Amino acid sequence: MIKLLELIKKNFKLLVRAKVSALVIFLGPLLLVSLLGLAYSQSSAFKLSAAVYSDGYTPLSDSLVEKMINQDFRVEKQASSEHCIGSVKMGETQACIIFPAGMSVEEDKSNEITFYVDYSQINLVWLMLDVMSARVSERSEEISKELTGDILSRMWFIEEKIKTSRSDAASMKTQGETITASSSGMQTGFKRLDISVDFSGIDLEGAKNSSAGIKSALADIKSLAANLSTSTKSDFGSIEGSANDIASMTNQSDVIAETDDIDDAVNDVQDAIEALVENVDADADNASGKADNVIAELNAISLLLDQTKSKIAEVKNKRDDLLTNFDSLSASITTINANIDTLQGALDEALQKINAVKGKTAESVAAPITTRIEPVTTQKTHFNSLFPTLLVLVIMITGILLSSTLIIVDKKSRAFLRNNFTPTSYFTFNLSTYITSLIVLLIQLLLFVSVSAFFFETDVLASIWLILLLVLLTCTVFVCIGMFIGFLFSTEETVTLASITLATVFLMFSSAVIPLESLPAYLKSIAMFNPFVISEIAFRQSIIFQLGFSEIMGSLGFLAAYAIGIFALLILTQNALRKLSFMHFTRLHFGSSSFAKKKKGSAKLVKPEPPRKKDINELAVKK
Amino acid sequence: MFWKKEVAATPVDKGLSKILKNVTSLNKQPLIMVKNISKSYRKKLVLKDVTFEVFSGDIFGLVGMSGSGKTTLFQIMAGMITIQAGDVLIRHDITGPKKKQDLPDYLSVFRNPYIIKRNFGFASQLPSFYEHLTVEENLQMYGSLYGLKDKRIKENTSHLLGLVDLTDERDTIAEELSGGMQRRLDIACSLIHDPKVLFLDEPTSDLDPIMRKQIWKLILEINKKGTTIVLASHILEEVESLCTKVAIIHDKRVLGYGTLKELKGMFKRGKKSKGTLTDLFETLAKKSETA
Repeated sequence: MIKLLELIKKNFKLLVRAKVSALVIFLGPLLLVSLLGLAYSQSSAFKLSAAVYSDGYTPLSDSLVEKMINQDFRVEKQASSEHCIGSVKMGETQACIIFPAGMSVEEDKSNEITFYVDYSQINLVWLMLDVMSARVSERSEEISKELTGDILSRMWFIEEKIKTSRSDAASMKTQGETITASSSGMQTGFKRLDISVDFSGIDLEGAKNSSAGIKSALADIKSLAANLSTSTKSDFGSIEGSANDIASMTNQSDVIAETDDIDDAVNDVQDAIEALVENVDADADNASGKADNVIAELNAISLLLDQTKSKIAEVKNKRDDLLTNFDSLSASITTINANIDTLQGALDEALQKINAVKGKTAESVAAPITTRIEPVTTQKTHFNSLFPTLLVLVIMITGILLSSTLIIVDKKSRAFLRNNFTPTSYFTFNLSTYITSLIVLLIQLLLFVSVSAFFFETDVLASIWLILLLVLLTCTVFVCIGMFIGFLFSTEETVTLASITLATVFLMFSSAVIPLESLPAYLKSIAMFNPFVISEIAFRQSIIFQLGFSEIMGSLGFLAAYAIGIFALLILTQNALRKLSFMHFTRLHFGSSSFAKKKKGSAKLVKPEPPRKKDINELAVKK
Repeated sequence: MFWKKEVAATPVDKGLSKILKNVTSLNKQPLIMVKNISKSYRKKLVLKDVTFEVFSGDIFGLVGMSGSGKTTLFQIMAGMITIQAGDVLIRHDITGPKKKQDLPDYLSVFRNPYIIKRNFGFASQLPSFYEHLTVEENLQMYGSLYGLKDKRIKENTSHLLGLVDLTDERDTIAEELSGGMQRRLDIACSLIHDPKVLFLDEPTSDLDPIMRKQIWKLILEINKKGTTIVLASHILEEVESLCTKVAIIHDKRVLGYGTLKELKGMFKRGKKSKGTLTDLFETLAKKSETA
């Protein structure tokens, strides 16, 4: 223990007496905190500059430029796209943005904005792209909202129209159904309508013949009457002649009177007959005339009947046609009804679809997902967010460099030979180097954390024990790695180079420079075992998110395994490493390998030289 | 402690006399035995079948040209580097009387690094201490690394500073010391834990003659206090002045070892030699190269 303390004391004396080392050790972290604090002491956006160019600016492209200027960008309009890209190459701006000529919101217009960025400044590029894309996206979103608002208002109009049309369609359907019913009724009526007339019972020819027979009978009656008149006349003449003969024969007055009476009566009867014949003639003529009229009427009736028949036939045909048309009509109405149903269904579906549209406002359609970036913890400055990374960075760089330097300085020191000749174990020497590095690191971290806490209000006290454990494990890992480097190499230059190289590898394969997610999957999976990454994650979780012991158990376990593993390996190989170091030492100071190269007889015995005047004077002064 | 003020001779009791007898008998046995060691660097042989013995109280010199393998041999003797063949053995009772009789008399330095480290002091040709620590801090730190108690560290520091004449420079940062002072501090650091054996690798190689002589005086003083010293040097004058026994290393092997008198006796016969160590070394080297 005394040996260990003495060695640690010695290490510190050597560190402190080498003024530059002391300065670096104690002022290094202060300088680091000051510079980084100055750099990242604000949480506002960075003042970024961008060059812009367009073959034809439009209000839209101008509005985007305006938006960027309002967002604290320094925007330079360039004369050509070459100048624009050239400004990025020259480092005058961080990005060149080329707007398409005549940029506007029109149909079939792509409006592609091209960003030219310098990917060699990868972090800046992402920052630029992020910030500038956000500005462009803002304007783009505004335009989207306008367009979507227009589309939506049209959609609501269509919805209203569909609703109206849907009720019209319903009404049409009802009417169609009524028409179908009416049509069906009419069809039934028409079907039931009996327009068949039996004309067989009408014997107009018989009537005409009968009329002609009547007329002929009348002519016969007339002729018979004429004959009767004639015959009666002759009979009555005969009667009268007879009466006259009688009277003449009798010449009696009575008989003459009687014969006269008979004559008179015959005359009267003749006259009556003649009058009757005349009446019969007249009546026969009249009847004949009427029979002619009847015949004429019958002819007319016959004609009308024929016409009626043809019309009835025509009506029948028409009815049949109508019935056929009714079928067609019925089918058509059925089709119309079905179509109305389909239309209604389509309208219903359209309405349903419109109702199913989730975004009812332009905002919700144009930007259905709105993002709001909120820090999981409220850090006042960028410095506080960077604090865990910086902490691990300080531990890694100081741990590796300091321990490797301590080893190589010890190895190259004249005292190394004597150290090896003391009965002090290698373990004690190694442990002293480890503890010295650990103490220096703790001093550095104390300074670092104190300054950070004082100026940037970094809170590490919340989980101080966990952080101390993490510090111990992380320091152990990096200090042991540094010690290995110190043992393996033989000169300070190679040790420093190896330390810096290894630290750079650790740093490059971590999220401190570029996100690990940007690495290929296999490299990422390897990088996840990087002690820098593991410790950075653990510190971030414990300092920023203030997670507990159980929550960062995984990282702690890994770190502990690393620390124990590397420390154990160091102890197991310390003899071999020390022998290697001794070999380096003897080669350096005694040139042991040069023994073999010495030529025979090249070495000489040295005879004493007379003392130099200067040396004698010095000795005299000393004495 | 050997640098403590010597107590005036007092009548010794029986026990002390027994111990002294044991020590005398032990001194007849070598403290360190280097037995047939061979060492290669990347298949290139650097040392071949090297054998010699170091006795307690000796200032044992390893002489050889620069790059002849002295430092390698030193590091092997201190158990710092491994070898392909042979062994380096150290007398077990170096740390005190043997507690268990069944333990071997000699221990291998390669298998008992902690015993070696506790009883050996090592000062390489490159002063080995922390240049940014003060003289006193270096001594205190190494005292702690050797597991000494705080009180003893303070005592040893104080006495050692006096011994190496750095008392006035105790608060000086080590890198600000002159070359000679740095060398003395290095020796002080290697003596902080009262080692039984002190290895000095080219202790004066880059020092001016005055400083060199100061270091020689210091070495003699340390040895006088009872510390066995193994010294490697390519400065023959140094070896000749200091060492009681010498091993000459050339062309990967030990050409001969013994006291200077013995060595001179071995090779003087029949040769036109002035009898200095330089002549002896040159004769042996030439003989070896001819062979």
